[in-house]
Amino acid sequence: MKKKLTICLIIGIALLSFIVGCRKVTPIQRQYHAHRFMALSPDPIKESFEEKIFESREASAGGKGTSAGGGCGCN
Amino acid sequence: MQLKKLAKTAGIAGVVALSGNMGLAQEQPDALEVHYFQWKQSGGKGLQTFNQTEDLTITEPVGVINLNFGKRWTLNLKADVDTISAASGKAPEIDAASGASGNDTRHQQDVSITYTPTRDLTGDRMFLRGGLSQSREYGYKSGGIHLGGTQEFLDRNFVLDVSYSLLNDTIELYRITEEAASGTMDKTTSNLSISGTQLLSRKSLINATLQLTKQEGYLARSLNSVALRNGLRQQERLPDVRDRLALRVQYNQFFGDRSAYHLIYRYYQDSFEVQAHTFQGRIFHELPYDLEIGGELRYHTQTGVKYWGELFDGDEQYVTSDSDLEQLASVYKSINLTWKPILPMPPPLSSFIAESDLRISLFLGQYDRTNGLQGTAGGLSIIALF
Repeated sequence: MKKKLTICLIIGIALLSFIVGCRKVTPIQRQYHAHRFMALSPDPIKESFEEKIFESREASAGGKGTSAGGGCGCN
Repeated sequence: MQLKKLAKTAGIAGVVALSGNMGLAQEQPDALEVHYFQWKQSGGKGLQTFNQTEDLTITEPVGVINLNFGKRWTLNLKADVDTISAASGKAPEIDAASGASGNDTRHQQDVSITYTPTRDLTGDRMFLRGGLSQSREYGYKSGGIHLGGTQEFLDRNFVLDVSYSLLNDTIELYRITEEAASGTMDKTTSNLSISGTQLLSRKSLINATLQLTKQEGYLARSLNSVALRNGLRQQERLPDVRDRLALRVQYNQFFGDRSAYHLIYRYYQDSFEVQAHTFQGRIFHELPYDLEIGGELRYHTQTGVKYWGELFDGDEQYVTSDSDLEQLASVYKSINLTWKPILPMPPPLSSFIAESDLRISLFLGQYDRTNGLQGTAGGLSIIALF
């Protein structure tokens, strides 16, 4: 478990390090990023409902910054 | 004015990129949201006998209010109710197949406040947020806190988010047999999440989120039982510690002037020896007449917990026959349609608000799991921005 955690941390940090400093996007070029489609969750309440279904019906949870387990009578 | 607008777009770009984390309230306009969701499932395996299925229907109305006070404070209130059929009035065996306890209704509320130390729209901004949540149903209650912070690095086109939450749950034990324990047990869930979002180009970004979760206490489900070889039944038993790790990567790409797609992968593992891979794809497209259409496809596969089985001798330390915890794969597909008119406000509201940015959405989804469970999800959302 610790070895896998270390590997995941290394991969995560490496991924972030790799992508930081990519082609610079100036403020005047960011109009597409302000579009609702480019949000990580364009419909957060709907996705929260769907995630609750998945977490209740499967053994895995987490990865979106919300609580992974707890708060309900599910796994 | 033009420079300020551009700077705001630049700032919002970073914040909007993270606005998907549920509970964030930064840089969102004043809003009133009403949602109605329904989940209907059938098939699967019940927990008292394997001839029983897990038929149930859940309806969930949700209300959200988002209010900005001054230039630095935002208040977000969320309230929802799960109403579950097939709970009371039927045998407890049916209750054991649902995701809740032995009653129909779960009430849940969340209050969050966001504070922005600086409102300089031309520079990097920090957002601090905190909140409380609580959930109640018969035989189960939960309370929690959540804290988080977001820091923009506009020169690097990067946004960093760190959040922490702590939940404490109290579960009333359901006695399968006379020998089973009674009373209440506690469960604590703590989450730490670190997330980074990087703009890659004018039309693409990538996000990586690492989440670590530790659960301690009563982690079994009181209504669950397992079958023994001697014909008797025994209450489910699981370890009192569960460590979870999830690493999620999301890539967003805008293409043309009206469409975007998301590609998502999540790796998950825990100390119950569950390992899972989840792949998701979403697509969005703007249509004429203020309409949007979208779709999603999700594939999930997991190994089972190491304590899972169909029959036990009775002397095992940990036992479960919960079909949610066995080896399985699932597919979820959904479609959604959104109408976003801009309506003039009628008097007397027009004295205060010129017009409302309204969004009305419908979605329908189908879920299929390899161990026989099927489900249909659907919902209606009405969101008014002021």
